[in-house]
Amino acid sequence: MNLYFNNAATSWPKAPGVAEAMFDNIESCMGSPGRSHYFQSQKLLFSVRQLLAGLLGADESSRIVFGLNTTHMINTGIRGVLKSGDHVVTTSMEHNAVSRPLRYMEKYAGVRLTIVPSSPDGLFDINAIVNAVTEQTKLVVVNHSSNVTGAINRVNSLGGILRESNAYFMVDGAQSAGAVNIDVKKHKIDMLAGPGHKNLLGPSGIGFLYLSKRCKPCPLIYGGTGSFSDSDDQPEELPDCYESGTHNIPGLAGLSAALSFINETTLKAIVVRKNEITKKILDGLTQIKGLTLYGPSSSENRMPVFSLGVPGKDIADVAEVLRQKHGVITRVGLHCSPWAHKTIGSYPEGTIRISAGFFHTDSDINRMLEALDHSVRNC
Amino acid sequence: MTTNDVIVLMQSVHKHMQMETFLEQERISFTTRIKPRQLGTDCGMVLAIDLSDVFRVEQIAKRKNTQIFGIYIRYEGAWKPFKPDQHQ
Repeated sequence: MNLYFNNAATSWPKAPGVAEAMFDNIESCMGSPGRSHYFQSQKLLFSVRQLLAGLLGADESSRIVFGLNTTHMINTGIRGVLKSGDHVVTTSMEHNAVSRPLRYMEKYAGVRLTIVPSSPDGLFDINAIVNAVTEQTKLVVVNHSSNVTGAINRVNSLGGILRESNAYFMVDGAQSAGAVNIDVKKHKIDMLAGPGHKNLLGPSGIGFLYLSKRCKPCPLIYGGTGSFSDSDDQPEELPDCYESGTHNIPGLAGLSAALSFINETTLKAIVVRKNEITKKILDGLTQIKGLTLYGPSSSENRMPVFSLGVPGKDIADVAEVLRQKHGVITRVGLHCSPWAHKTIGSYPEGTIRISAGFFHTDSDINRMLEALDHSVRNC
Repeated sequence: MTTNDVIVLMQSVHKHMQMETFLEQERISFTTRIKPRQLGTDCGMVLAIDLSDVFRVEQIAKRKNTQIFGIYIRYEGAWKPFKPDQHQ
């Protein structure tokens, strides 16, 4: 039986009830939200928005907008607020979902970019970010939790400081939403993007973007919303403004089940279990000879995401032994984050990434660690 | 059940759904129906309520800080803006 340790890419298994909810939705829920009398799907969309707003501390659920995935939502935020002459501050740990749109804006839209180096652990330096902010800074984009090292950044401290500037504060919550306590209002976040399919334990195909009251990016996509149909202009009203085209309705049904599971389990209990998993894996990894562990060496402020090098060996070979002999699924390479690998010193080879999920048992972790030990020694 | 002769329009489908939640909480009966063509060109919905609940619905909207786009009453086959003094 395979042991899936690639939860930073997408969670597996999904929360109980997700698959059934999607199946039931396809079988029995007709119609599209906002397109006449399909009240069932409209209620579903509304309830998912409410559940997510509750989880993220948003006081108005209309400020949560849905799209295809986190990358789509990050592009909506970045490309929607920046214009020629604007300055952006970001960190050296960003995923391509952030770095590529920023580079595009730098090359083709007259935007100036400052990349503040993070530590080799993957943690940003708040003072360095704040010092890089100027009067022209329109946006500060940071990674909440690294998909490469698992390091959790202190976004709660940064938001308040940035409110004293002209800059919007955007957080890439791809790895943190559903795994770390996020309070968009308390942490003064202007834009938070995240996926439904990672730590929210839902299906792929849905991303979300929270927008604060002071932040109104231009939409990335224009079109039919089911509202104000006589107008050639995009509706100003949220969430319609950012949700042209048909929603992923079965996906929303799955996400609804996943969010209900998280609410029943409680985020607090999820965080506690994830911390136990993190500590157990970290303790185990330090016992295996021949490994280089990148990222924080302590289990504090860390997700169960671990980047490993195997000096003197091809990490692809090690991962292949892990997969073929032991059925342990990992991810090898740059993890769409070349900046991050340059920061931690693993570029261009990349690392073997082991990313655990909420449903892993202690026995799963022991099996994975034994398999890793065996693979490193026998490769 | 309502007579469908008084309808409440909200600014968006999201706001409509929010208002539904508020009315359910306050135990005010309503039905959701397709927006009459006379009142808009989109594919939206309206809340049909009883005439006797109009004041309460307005108060709820005010209390919940939710803007009602319009309240209409069917009069001689057409939808007219609701003016409370004409219906007392």
